[in-house]
Amino acid sequence: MSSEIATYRHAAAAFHRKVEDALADRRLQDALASTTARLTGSRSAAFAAVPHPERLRDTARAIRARTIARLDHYLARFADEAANAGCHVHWAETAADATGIVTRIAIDCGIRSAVKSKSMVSEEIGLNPALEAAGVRVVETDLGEYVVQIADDRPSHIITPIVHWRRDDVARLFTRTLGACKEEVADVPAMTAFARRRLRAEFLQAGMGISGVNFAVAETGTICLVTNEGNGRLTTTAPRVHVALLGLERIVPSVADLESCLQVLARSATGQALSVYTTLLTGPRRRPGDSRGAESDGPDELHVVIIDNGRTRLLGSDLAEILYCIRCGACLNVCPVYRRIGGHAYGSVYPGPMGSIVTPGLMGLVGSAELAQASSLCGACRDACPVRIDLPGLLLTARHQAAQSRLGPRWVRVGVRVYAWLATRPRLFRLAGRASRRLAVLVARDGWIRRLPGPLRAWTEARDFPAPAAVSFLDAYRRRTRSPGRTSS
Amino acid sequence: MSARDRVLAAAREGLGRAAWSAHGRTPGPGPSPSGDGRRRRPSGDADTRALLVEQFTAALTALGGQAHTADSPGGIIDIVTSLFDRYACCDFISWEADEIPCPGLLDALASHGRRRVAYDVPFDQVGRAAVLASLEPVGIGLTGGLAAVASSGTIALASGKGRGRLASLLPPVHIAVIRTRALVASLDDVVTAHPSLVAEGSNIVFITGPSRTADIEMTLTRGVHGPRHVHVVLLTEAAP
Repeated sequence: MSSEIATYRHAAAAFHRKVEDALADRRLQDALASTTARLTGSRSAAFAAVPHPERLRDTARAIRARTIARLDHYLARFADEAANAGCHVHWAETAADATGIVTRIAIDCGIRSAVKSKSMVSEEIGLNPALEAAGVRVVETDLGEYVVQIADDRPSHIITPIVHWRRDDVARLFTRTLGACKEEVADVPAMTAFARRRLRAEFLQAGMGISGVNFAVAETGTICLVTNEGNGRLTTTAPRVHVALLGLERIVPSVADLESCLQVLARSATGQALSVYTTLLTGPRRRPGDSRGAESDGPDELHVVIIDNGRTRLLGSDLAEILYCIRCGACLNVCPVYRRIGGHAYGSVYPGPMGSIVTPGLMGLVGSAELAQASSLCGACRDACPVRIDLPGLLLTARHQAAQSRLGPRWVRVGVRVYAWLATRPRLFRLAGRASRRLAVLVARDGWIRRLPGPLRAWTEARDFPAPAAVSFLDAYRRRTRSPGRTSS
Repeated sequence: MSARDRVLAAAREGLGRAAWSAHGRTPGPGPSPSGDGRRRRPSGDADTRALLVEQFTAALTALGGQAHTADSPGGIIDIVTSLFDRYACCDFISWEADEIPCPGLLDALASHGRRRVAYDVPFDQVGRAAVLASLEPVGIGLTGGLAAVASSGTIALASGKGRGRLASLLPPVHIAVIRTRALVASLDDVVTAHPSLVAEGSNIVFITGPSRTADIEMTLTRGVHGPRHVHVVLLTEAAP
């Protein structure tokens, strides 16, 4: 057995175990059901409120498609314009390059503590452990991410990271870990005010602010950042140095394009017409001597780290369409699988339907091939996606790739080949059908097959099959068309 | 070969290989789909203006903010001073007088005993932290604004000389004074009205209501890191 197959099997088994745990967790089930239903409802309402929602989605998709089709061009343009605006532009081919670049900036600037606004790409590259290893304290400032950080947990949703937490869990955490008193955790507003006070102190003394980038505008070198809490603004205003992490696909050509993308992002993510704070940053604070006038605040240095980490490889693959993704989380909220198992079970920074493509796309198939199996291919994700990514199609492609790479069990490959051989021979197929109907009677209980013997058992571990009908469709059809008076006219 | 060259070469190679473009899903480069057929100037007539004010007020109120209107600088001064009374606020940070479309406002506040804390954040870390800490207790931030969007209750602010970022961010209360002339129907009208939007400042922020979170059990809570209270004072004026 090769090590790749071992890795695949290990990952698949771990995934199945985590799914079982999630399904058995009553509290998680309740939290997921109410949160995803609310997010889905507010998204629908937000799209219903615009005159031409489908046209808006078409526009957003066209922008993403056009950008990705000429990504090299727009990326180079962005980098040039950002540098012209006074940014330091860095290029990172891998996660290790990216963390190395940020760590070096921190060391060069003598940074001891950094504040961070929510950034999925920073989780993807494992930035916090790298900075902490270099002696830089990192504080997450999004309320949900702050909870995740002090509890040593992981986010379970890309927009609302603590879907799996309840208010009394947060109260207990603040009391035990941060020494909050009873009044400070009395209710959600009190806990929020407590976190604000704690984090305000961090913002005011941090030397570095780290953020992601929601969109980067090629023609102007502008980076766009969206938050509701305002932590994104403080992160990019209070500290002396701002480091922005940009996944290299998050480019839009122009400011006009940006506006369309922002509209679908806010509506899809949280059901808002626009997020509370949408910030457009073009270069750092203007210093004394600048012909446009000196500014009284803002970061002295703005570093943009352009991160590849598998994206250019994805660009040339059959999964490239996932690069259109704007990380709104809508596909998570509508997915019948995510709604049951939550974000942790996926074992990846990016959960849900989009995560099941992004993760193998960026990290390689071996450790995450099983994720694409966790889909009923119902298409709800494609219907919800604001840029109309064909997620079910991509999931099938990922499954196909997994099958091609021969990672899965041998008996599945053999079984599928046998089935294909049978299915292309009608007479044999009917015969086999008749035989399997006979056999099914032996294992079915109350019209359902809940357990199959031998290697087939793996299938029924997660599925119940309806028992086959006593008469095949073909036989029933023949009987029907033969009986007099019942033929269709 | 630099990292830039390698990444761009890899992107080019990926695009050249891209099987997905053969699926017919991806249109090639063409004219921007944004903005086609929507280059309309906001209408300036009084009825439209009144409707926009009404829309803006409704949208901002729904978000938990508050809109006020006045038809003269004197009216603005009355509104702003009464807001200072309401929040029992003495110290404030603000944009410079000529960046707020209400002549005499800062002088009036001074004569009411309100103290404007002027600041210029130093470039060294120690000095910087000290100045930021001194601004932390300030109760109100006062700004002008570049534009306002009626449909979403949004205001747009551009940073620059005399237009600090902290005034709309650090204090728990933010008051923005904006002319109704700057009020437009939708977000794309802002881009239309300001073709070189990002040239207006190194930091353009669109603010849509008070700071908020729903991270804990989807419970909406206002005033997390940004201002808890947002007041937009609109100066109505005759159409140009």
